Amino acid sequence: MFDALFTHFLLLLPMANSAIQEINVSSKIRRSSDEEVRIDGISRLPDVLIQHILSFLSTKEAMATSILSKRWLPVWTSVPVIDLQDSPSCRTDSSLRLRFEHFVTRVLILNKMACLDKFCLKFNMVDRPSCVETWFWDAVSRDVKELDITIHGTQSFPFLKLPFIVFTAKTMQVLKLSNGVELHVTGTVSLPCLKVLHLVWIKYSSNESVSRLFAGCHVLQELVLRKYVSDNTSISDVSIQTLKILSIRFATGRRKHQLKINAPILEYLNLEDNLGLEFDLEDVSSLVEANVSVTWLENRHIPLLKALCNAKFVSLHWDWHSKMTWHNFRPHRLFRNLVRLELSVGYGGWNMLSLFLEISDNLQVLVLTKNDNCRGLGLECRWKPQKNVPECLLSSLERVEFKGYEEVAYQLRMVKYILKNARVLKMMDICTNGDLPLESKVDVLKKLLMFTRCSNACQLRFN
Amino acid sequence: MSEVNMAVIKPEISSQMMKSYIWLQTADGSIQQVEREVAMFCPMICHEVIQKGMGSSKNCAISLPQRVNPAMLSLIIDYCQFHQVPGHSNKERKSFDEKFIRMDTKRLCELTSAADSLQLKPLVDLTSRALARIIEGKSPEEIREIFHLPDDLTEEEKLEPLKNTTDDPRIRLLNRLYAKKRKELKERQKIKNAEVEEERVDDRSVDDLLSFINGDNGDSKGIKTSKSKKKNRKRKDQQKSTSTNETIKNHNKELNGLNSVRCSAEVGQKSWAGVGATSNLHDVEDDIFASKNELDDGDIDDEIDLALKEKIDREVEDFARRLNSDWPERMQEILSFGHEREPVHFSLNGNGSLRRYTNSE
Repeated sequence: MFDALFTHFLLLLPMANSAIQEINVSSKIRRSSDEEVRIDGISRLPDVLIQHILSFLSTKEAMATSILSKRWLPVWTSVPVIDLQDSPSCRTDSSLRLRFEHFVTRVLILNKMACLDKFCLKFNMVDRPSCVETWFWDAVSRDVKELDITIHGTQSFPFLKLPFIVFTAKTMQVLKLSNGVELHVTGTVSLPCLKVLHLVWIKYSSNESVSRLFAGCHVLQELVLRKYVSDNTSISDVSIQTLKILSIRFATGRRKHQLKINAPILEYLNLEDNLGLEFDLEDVSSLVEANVSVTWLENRHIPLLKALCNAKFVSLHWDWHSKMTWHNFRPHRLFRNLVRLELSVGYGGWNMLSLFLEISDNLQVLVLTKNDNCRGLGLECRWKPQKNVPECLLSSLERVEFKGYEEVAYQLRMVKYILKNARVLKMMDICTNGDLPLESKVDVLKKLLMFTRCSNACQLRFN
Repeated sequence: MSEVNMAVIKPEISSQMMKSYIWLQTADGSIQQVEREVAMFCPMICHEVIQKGMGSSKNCAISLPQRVNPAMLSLIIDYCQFHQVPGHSNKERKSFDEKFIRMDTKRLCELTSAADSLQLKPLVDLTSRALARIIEGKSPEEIREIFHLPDDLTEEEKLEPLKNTTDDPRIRLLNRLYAKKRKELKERQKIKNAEVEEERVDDRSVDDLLSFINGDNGDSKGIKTSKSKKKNRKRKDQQKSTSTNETIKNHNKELNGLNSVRCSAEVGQKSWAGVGATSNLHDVEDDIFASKNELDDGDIDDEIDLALKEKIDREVEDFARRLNSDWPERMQEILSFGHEREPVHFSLNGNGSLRRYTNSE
């Protein structure tokens, strides 16, 4: 650091210029002078850069810089980001909450920027909605690009209804609403720039609120929904033509709920369902990656699995399953594009493995996991390999991973079967559970090494 | 256009294995050549090459902005060299970035400046974030120490405490310290303006009386805290932690009531939820903040403007005249209510100040 300081200092001296025509930075020129020039580096940066730096801090921290020195006094008021959070003690203390409301209003007033990049608020219950609504009015009138509101309310406290102005914000690109907000949309929504929408555990005043909101977002690319049991909706209709990324998590319990997806250019789907969810997937033909996690795999998931047929990477995770009637599923829709398949199996259902192997002709990577939720359960199943070896084992499967290997008979059978038949297998990776004692691990390894391998290049990695 | 440049460059680099280079000159005069793909990662250099055709030879080297010295240039070139390769995964890029910014803060500032002048936004973001992380969570003294900032704010300017919700203990401590210092300053001022102080004390006690009277009479003015109460008055209400004596609270409430009566008349027409809320905010701004110094945790009395004081004085006079006749009896009744209010305080000052007040008129 000292060297850099000196080098820098040198460059400032005019007579040094000629001496350093082709200066190589790595050579350090030491001077014996003991002058330590305290050059204020950060204050030399232009205001715009300092504001950029402060925009990565919370507004309170940015405000704290105003007492550093004269130059820093007004800088925080020109930072185009407002990021405020109240304290946990506000939950119980209403005077503190009121104070926070005043504080936010003051910050908004003092902030000089005509255009805000980000307005992020995390606070507890709202005592005076009119005050809070004013904030949104101000943010929207300042062309805010990102609005991120989290209200840690309790169920007993009334949820905040956003003023309608928020739904006609012309410049908003990101909208994230969490917890104590109620989505109440009555008129025509117009959000021409909105690309990212997160609705996490909020309440809805009706199903139509959501559909009106989606109808007004013409360039929406990313949608994240987290739904819970009493949020007043029974249908989730995700019919958005421009959607590329969709992540939905349902914690709706046993309540009947319908999920409709019509997203022709959807590329990434992350779905966590719950009991009682019905699927109606109209068009997800351009899906590239799908991560699906279900609690109870049953017949209602067949439309979902059908819809995943074009995907390249599929990860399927289930805890329990019931017998599924496959007759109308096989095999007229093949998983032609599937390159990587990850199955995390809970209590049984290993027949799915045979099914998938059969219909994915181009599978390259297979990852099998024993679902952690059902550890110790389903210790035995009657999995038997098919008579006809699946096409992918013969031609494309290169890598297999076994996670949570528990030294159970059917797992041995599987490994044996794969090793025996996979012609182009390059790597078989087996990870045992932590619980297995060392001696049995050694035994298992010996057994595995004994299996015949069809592919010569196959390596066995044991963990 | 780039093809034309290529054609021009080719004969000159025949000795350099078909790799094209761009020539850059830093502010100190030293000239360097950099691989084309690497240099073109910087938008500013890219612009120079494509729009102006510069950089193809030593003679027409692109002169870089002054903020880019050779040390910074080499760092930037390292950065560009790694990131312009498309093959790296996101993880690799991230770990490279983390190692890259491990340098002292001074260099970090210079690098930010240099990257900004070359319009290399990813590097600007990276260094800015690193600097933000350095600033985060540190006390002002520590920050001044790290960045060698001059401590050039006057005591007064510093003593405008940061009015936050007091959940940040650091700021709370600062506020307490500054409050103490401020009190000292005020003490010194008080000695100078002794009379003004006394008058203020008088006002307060009179207004306490007022609240008594108003509360007892079921106030004819009908001043109840209305919903359109001005925020600043309520704020001062909350922040006055010094004397939580209920009398004072009532005094403030009445003040609020009076204020709201006055202000609601002005603001009443405008609705908060209406269109043009920003204009409302500006009105609020004008009313709440006469000056920026309103951030002070100052005495409430300071901020009552004169017109309001006069109004209060007038009202007090009215009541004084009305009650002057049966004052002792009223006093007995009030005392017998047995609230937490200190009757002694009132009888002493109330009578005295009331008399004084009417006399001063």
